[in-house]
Amino acid sequence: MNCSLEQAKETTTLFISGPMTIEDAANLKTSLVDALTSSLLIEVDLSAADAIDLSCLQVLCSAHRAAVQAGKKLSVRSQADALITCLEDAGFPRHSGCLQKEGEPCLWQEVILP
Amino acid sequence: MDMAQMHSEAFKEEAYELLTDLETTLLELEEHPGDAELIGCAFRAMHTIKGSGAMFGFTDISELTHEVETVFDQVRNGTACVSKNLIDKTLKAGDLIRSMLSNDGSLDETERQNLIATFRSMAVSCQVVPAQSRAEVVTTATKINAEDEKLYRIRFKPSPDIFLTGTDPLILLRELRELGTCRIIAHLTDIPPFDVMDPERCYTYWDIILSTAKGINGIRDVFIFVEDDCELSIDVIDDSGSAIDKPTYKKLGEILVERGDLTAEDMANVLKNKKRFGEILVESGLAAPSKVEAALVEQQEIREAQQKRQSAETAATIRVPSEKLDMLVNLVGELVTVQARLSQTAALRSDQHLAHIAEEVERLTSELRDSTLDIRMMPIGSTFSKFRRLVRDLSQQLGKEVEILTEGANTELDKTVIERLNDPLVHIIRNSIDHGIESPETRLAAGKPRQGTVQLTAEHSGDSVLITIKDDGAGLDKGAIRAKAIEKKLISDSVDLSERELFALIFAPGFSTAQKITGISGRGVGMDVVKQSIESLRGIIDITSQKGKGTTISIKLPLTLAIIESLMVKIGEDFYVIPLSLVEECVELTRGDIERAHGRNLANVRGTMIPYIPLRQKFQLGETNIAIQQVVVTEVAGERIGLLVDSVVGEHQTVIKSLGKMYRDVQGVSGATILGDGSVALILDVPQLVQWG
Repeated sequence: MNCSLEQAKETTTLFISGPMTIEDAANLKTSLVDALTSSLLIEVDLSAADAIDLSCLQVLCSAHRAAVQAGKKLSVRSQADALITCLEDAGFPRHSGCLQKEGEPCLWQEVILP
Repeated sequence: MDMAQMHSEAFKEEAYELLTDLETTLLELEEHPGDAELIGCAFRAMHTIKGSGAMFGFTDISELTHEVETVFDQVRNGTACVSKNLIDKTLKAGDLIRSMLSNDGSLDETERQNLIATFRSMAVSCQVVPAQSRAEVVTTATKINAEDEKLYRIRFKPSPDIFLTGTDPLILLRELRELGTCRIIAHLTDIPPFDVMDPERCYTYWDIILSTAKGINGIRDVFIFVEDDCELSIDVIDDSGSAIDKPTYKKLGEILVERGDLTAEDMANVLKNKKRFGEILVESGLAAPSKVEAALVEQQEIREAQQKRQSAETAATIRVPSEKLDMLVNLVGELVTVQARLSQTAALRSDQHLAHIAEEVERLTSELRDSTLDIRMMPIGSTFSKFRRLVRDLSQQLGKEVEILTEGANTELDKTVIERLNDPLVHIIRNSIDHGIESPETRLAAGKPRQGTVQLTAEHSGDSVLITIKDDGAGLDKGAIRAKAIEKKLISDSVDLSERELFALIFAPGFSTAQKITGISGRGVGMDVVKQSIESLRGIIDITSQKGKGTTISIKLPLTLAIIESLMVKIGEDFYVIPLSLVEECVELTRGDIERAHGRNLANVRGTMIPYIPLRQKFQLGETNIAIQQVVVTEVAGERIGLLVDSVVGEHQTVIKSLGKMYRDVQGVSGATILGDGSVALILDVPQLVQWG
């Protein structure tokens, strides 16, 4: 897995490429911590990522919650079919966000229903 | 030990267990070749060994098991049938895997390749279905089709460490999808806050609604590698076909969104505005807020209680290395000794407070002792099932037909006793089959059924366990035993012996009646070794036989080796203990009695003369002038023999300590114990004392 952070105006984008497996989960968390501290709007670009596994999905979900609680916005960008299949296989996407907060839908909504 | 090594140790342990189960299953399968459940069991055992073997780098093993599994899969699907050859080869494969495990996966490569080739050819040849079983295949196939799909609710909660075992739960979920229509809902509530979450632990669990015709076993097969490591519950919630596909099952909103008539956002907005049932009740004034809250709490409580029960069930058994148990027993032994000292000190001090505490400690210690010893108890069944294999192999080798019947497999004995009982039992069973049971022709000529029987029974009797090995073979030949004993100079030819004494000669060192030495028994290690091993377990072995009818060997064993009930006696200033199980009664012996016996060591017990061993002389403790001594009457090998002591102190809980290497060869003493005041009392080995004379 390769991570790179890009800062543009208020938005920090985290570009991820390559496989995202248990070996990368710790790295992913560190990168997300950096991204979360740097700005209010965080975008995770998974377009170049492949083979995401459960451990990384968990990290992303947890980061999303932390963002919502801190009043920030974290979103995921990807059009990859592989990610959609993986999310559906894992049963992750929800209609409403897991924090039950107004205007905060599930992180994966945008990926599933663009 | 690093993580990988720990896992491979765990795998080995699991594999050994699976192989033992597999062996039992195969032997049962040989008797009931059509039993689908047994076939499933064998398949699953192989499947698990293959999977976890590959996971922990035992590729040789997983390669072999893969071939075996393939054949069993065909059997399971009805395209092949169970044959004697298959059972034989699978047992062989099991043996090979066992030896591969003990050699870290490197062993006889040619044998492994041969077996792989055999199973491959079996798998190929099985594809040509014999005409006879074709009909069966068709029926099973239609059965599956005819069987309605059922709807299952599956709750799958993997252990947090599941990633460390190399398993990705998503792969399991994908496998589930292949079984039928499937809805998977992940629960993410357990994921901790971002700053404290460990990215390498699994916090997610799932509710899965699955509609499949594969049955509950098909679903379990998916979770086979992780079953021990996760909470898994599978319930049938609807068996009237695939309800998922019915349009009524979907919620209105879902259908509308799917058809594009409603956007998900709109639906989310509507849903957000929708009030919960409880809120509606409260607003309409039909129920007080507190009532609703209470009802919600009740609902939640019940759910939690159910969850708790579930987790309690999964944690019902734990695996503990046996060394830890041994250590626990040792510590409890020490504690019992210290407690005895405490009680004695308390009694001397006449201090109410101390006496109170001492009593409490005594009560707790005895409970602790009982439950600790209870942990070490294991059913003897595991040993019994090993013998089925032994009997099968032996009878094949000798061209005899022998059936083994077991009874009382649930009888519990101390772990150590069971382990040390294995070799003597193997020897006795070998003897029964080799020398006892006749060939089928001889049996038919004698008017007996072709097939001989060896019956293994275990039962509790008092504080000991009685194990009997009974065969319906030729029985012991008294003439042959006598002739042999004379030839070996064990007895002189003029001696007249009772039947019992004659049979007892079999246990004499260097005695073997078999005319020729076979590969099975009669290799020099005779029944004397068996007797020694049983006696080292504080057990008693006995033999009865009827010519032409069969032989019965009975073994009486104490329940445990660590702590025994005993009778404490005193000679001079020293204390000795005698195992209570051997003691019959105590009688007085006055100086007058001794004079009347005219120098012979005989005591008159209600008219019966009983010989006794004067321990004072035996242990060279000098003479005494006590007016009344005591004879402790014991029963050893059916004979009543007394032990002459100065006085009898009373019953005693004896924690057995071994005497150590230095005193290994001391006769008449089997161990020692530490008394309340810290002094040592010797444990008398009565059978040896009697033999010694």
